[in-house]
Amino acid sequence: MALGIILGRGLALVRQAPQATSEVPFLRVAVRILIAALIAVLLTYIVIEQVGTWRRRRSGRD
Amino acid sequence: MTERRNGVPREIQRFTANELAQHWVLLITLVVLTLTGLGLFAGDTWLGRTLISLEGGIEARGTIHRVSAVGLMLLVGWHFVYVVFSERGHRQLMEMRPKTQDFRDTGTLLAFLLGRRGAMPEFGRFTPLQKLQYWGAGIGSLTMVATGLVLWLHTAAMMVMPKWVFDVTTIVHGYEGLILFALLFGWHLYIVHLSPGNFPLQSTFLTGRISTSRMRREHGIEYRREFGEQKPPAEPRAGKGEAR
Repeated sequence: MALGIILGRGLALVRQAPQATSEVPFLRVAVRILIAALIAVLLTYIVIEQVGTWRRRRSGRD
Repeated sequence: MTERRNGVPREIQRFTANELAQHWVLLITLVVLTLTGLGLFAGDTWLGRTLISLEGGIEARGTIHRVSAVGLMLLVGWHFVYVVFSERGHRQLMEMRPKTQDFRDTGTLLAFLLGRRGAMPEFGRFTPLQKLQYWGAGIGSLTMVATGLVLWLHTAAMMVMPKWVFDVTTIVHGYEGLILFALLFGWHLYIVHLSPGNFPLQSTFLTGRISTSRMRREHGIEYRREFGEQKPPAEPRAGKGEAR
């Protein structure tokens, strides 16, 4: 019961969090774009490496 | 380091016990901080609710998160003392300094991976991507500690800073955590253990050792500085790892 109340209050606080930071919504959007760009760069590197290694092994240069 | 060929051992100790211990503390604290932080960050999703439940509820989650945060703060202090006051640590830090050559080498590495260049660039003690991971994790950890302290001591912080700074700190702490997660548990894990030549596991983080043939392949400049033009003994199971 007590745990349920604590959990319930905690989750209620969590749900309030976006409203509490609504004064800087542009920052939230900017950071999300930054993270998306970073993940895209990291994924691009992985793809380039995998494809490059596969191509070199295929052509027998590795 | 017993088996040698022309004075070159089969393996060398690349990292000391102190450095491996720092890596373990960072690994454990960041895993715990990520899991407990993600519970709150995604609290209104099934993932967040599951994590909070597994962590013993919202209060226990907070306690675990703060204990791990203290661990990370102690590690930051330990690492600072190590790189500033110990000779080896300071030398390592100097090797980690970004140089103009690193940008050129990264371009050459990408050209090599794209098949536009026949040979890989030669690297020193640390490759440009290793430097990027070190500084990314370092600056990220410092940011997390600073913003985390503001959130932890929020009553005192709100007395000396405007509300918008607190709002920005909340956002930075949450999303910087996500960036660190992507950098360390996504990219770092891929580069060290899952990339071609390293899969399924590179054991340097366990033993601190690296084979000299791998060192010659991945850290050619450092190898020549240590052993000149001597060839290393062959690896028992020759991998084809590449410097990253």
